[in-house]
Amino acid sequence: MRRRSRCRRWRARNDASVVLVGPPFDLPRVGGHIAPWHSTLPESVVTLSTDLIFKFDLQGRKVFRFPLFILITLIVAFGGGIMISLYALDATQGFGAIKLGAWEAFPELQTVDADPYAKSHRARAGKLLYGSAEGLTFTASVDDSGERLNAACHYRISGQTPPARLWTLFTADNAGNPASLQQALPAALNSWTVLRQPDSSFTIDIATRAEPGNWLALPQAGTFRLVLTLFDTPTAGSSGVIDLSMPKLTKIGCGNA
Amino acid sequence: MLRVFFALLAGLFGAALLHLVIILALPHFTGRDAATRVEAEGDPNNFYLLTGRYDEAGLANGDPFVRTAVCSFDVGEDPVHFTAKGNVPFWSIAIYDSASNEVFSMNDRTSVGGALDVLAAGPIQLTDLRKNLPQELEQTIMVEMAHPEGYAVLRTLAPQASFDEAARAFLTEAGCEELDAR
Repeated sequence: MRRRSRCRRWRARNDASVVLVGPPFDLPRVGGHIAPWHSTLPESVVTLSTDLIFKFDLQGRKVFRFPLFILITLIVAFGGGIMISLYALDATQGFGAIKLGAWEAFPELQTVDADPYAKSHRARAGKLLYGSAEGLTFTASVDDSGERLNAACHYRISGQTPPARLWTLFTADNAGNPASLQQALPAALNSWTVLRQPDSSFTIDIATRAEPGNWLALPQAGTFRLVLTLFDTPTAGSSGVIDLSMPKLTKIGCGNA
Repeated sequence: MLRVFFALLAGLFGAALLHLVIILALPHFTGRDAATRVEAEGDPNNFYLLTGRYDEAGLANGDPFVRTAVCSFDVGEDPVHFTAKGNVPFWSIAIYDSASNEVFSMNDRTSVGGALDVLAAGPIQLTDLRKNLPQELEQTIMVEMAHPEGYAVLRTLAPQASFDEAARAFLTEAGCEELDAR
């Protein structure tokens, strides 16, 4: 009895628009009508809970109070957390990349030493990665000057690869899968089929139109990537990364230039 | 106004916490990581060859010149013996655990006579084996698996079309068998 009247007094003092209730059996009324669910609950619970959820303004309409801020917090927390996670997973492949010119590789992506972003990325992509003694994959999505590789342009790869027993090179879509081209077009080269100069360096032309010498075909339009995989190479464990020389990837011209 | 600011601040803190939890926990239940896909290929202890196109489990060779075979296994009961031999220019094998972390990898340069002969076992099984080593395992490379489940990826190269047949024979005859306990 004392708690109930103290409650009522606090409410009356702090909230002039709340409807005061009378003796225990008098239920809150709005416009003369009793809300049905009130009739089964003790009055103190009803008044406290209705106080938290809504209050009555001067016209007797219900107005929401506290949950607005709780709602803001929850929306920012869940929405922001999920959006940041998706963005971080799509934007990067984790840290620990080595970048030589236009070519980028992740030597530790498949190991237990990969950072949590890399592990999450690896678990989502679900690809079979190369082990340390198997090979190392370098991907180029931009040319040496930093511009995105575009199928409308003509590129040239020239030079030598780091030491490796074998290597393969193919044009890929933005997900890293071999680009789907017409059957007869050359989409891939390897160290056994590439034509070399007398000093064993090579030049590969990459364009939609046929070129003499080594030529890799491109899809008709859009951006693409180049994937160079070195098999049985000490490149990943090499401490002197500066000594490694990847072939140069230069843009010759775009369109008909 | 101050309350809105605090609500936003609390929300940002919650977002950071949620982001951390998502990134750390994601590998455990994404359901499409490599280990799950290899298990979906078929029965364990069997090398399944992959093609240039993605199959039902979502695996493919990934490189026009590489031929791949995958085998999921569990060394909880018995050790697993990987064997393969053939006339191929290059082969390599990598063993991963169920979290897709690399446990072991090698290529034909460090093999005996160009043949694959690797045994994966748990720590206790390895200790037992080393005490009484059967004769046929004398030159086998032993790999310790801290966790019993894992998968192996065996790759070979076919640099030109004429190497396709040898690559297919190499992968088809590769073995991923459980070692019979004595």
